[in-house]
Amino acid sequence: MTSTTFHSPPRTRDVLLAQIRAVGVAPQGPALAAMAVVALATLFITIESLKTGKGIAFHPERQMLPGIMGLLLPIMVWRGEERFGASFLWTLPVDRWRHALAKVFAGWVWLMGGVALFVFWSLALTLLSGGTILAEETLRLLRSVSLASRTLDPAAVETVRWTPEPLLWLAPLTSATATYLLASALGLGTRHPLRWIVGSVIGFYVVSGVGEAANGVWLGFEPLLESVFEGPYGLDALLTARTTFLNIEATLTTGDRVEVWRALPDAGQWATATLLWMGAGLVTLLAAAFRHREGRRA
Amino acid sequence: MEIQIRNLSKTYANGVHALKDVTLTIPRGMFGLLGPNGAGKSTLMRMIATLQEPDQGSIRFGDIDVLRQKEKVRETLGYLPQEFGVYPKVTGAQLLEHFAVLKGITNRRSRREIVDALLHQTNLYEVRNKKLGGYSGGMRQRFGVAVALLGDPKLIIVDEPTAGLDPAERVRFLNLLSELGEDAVVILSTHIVDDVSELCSRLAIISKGTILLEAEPLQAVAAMRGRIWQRVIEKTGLDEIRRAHSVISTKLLAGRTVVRVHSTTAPGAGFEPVEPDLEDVYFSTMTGHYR
Repeated sequence: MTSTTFHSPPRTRDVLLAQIRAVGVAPQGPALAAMAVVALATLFITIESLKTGKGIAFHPERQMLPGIMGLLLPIMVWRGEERFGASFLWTLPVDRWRHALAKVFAGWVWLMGGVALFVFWSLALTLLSGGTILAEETLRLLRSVSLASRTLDPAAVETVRWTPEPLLWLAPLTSATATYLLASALGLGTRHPLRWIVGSVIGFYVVSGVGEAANGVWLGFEPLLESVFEGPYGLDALLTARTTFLNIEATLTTGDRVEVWRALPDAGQWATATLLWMGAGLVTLLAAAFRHREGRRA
Repeated sequence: MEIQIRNLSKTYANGVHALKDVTLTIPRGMFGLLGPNGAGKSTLMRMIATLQEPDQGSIRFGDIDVLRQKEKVRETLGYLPQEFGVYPKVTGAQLLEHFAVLKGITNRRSRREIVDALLHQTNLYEVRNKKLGGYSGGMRQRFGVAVALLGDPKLIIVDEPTAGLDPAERVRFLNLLSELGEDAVVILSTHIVDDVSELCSRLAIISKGTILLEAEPLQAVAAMRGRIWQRVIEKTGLDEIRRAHSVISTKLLAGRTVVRVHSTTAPGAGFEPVEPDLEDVYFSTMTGHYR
């Protein structure tokens, strides 16, 4: 029997730093495109602000973009890597499970950097336009949610004073994190994530179509979908603290078009939804990464 | 230090028997694993490279159980896969540094020295600051060798390295590979006989998941001496020759067909004895004439 000399495997810290550097290279193209979009948006908002003479209110919690960034980033993080095949990456002296998670973590670091820049950009734009930050706002609130419709009697609406909660400023970071965790889990856990997404959508429509054809039974899908997307702890609560669902445009019987709120954003509800979705994302990510554990033979 | 493969079998979910009870000993030096596409070479390479599990059998590298001590193997493994995925937007030097860190070479100064030395060795130093997306196929393969050599590996696996290279790049690449086999086990998996004949001190021929021959190339060729006969014929006469003789290979030469047959005695008029080469060994083995 002959003994063999070995080099020490890299420390976790070194693996993380190496992956952060490597992942940082991947989104250069999209980052440049994003910068161009931001420049255009800045120009457009500035012109609009100068024209109307109104400042912009700082509401990072109302932005869908960070959540979408989190959803799409795993594509760039894993581009060019064979996650399940005989990839060179998996022959390196780093435990495969640990290495997969290190790469996910590296992507998250860049994601947080990107989202933070986006929030700072929003803040800068607000300040430059003479807008308000955490200032008390006057909102039109529906007296009863059941009154929600596109044409409203002015009596159905009351005016309330509301101050945004600073806690909600975390929403862009948390929504991006949760969607990133879920998308990374899908990418790490399945060989063909796109097929799963398309298959799920088609499967849903086929099953619900069959259900509807059979005496219009919805098989309970509609309420379930509503809960997932617009419910108190649904995706909308995660991504925008429910502002997309709660905030509607309506026409008063007087003919005025106004912005009306079904209810005021609730930071507690947002925090619960965020914890639920981030927890779900983390659990599914760990389960997905478990597929990449080393196959140890007994 | 050698690799001992014992009774290795693998059947894929689609029913393909990729490996059938493969037993093989691979000593230190350059070892050629020769076989047609789909013979099971890549499956075997992936198993030795800790990327795939067999259904049964064992692989040992020195005192390491390859199937149970994967991390140990990877600490001393250099692997150049068939498709070496590179990050097209980073330079050769940057990516080599990145992989050096992941191989455990974390001291900045020694890492820089190792990276520079490997770039010189693979003749890529001049293009070290060029993005990998701009490398030619041959440069990429040489870069793959540089990556495989990081960390002074004692087990190097090179899977179909010359496929797609132009003749000049192939020669340059083979020269580079020839320097590797002195202190390590180097397994060169290929379907190109010339690669093995030029580089390897030992070889195995695999077909349909079974090892057909394990030998030293020079001895295998010597054993064929006096048994290979050649005749140049018109293409139309090939079927008749096939019926009458043990044809091991045919090739075209200036529009005519050169037939090589295996025979212990003179096969008849028109045939002349020829000096065998490794290709004759390969084709004789594949057609069941080499014992």
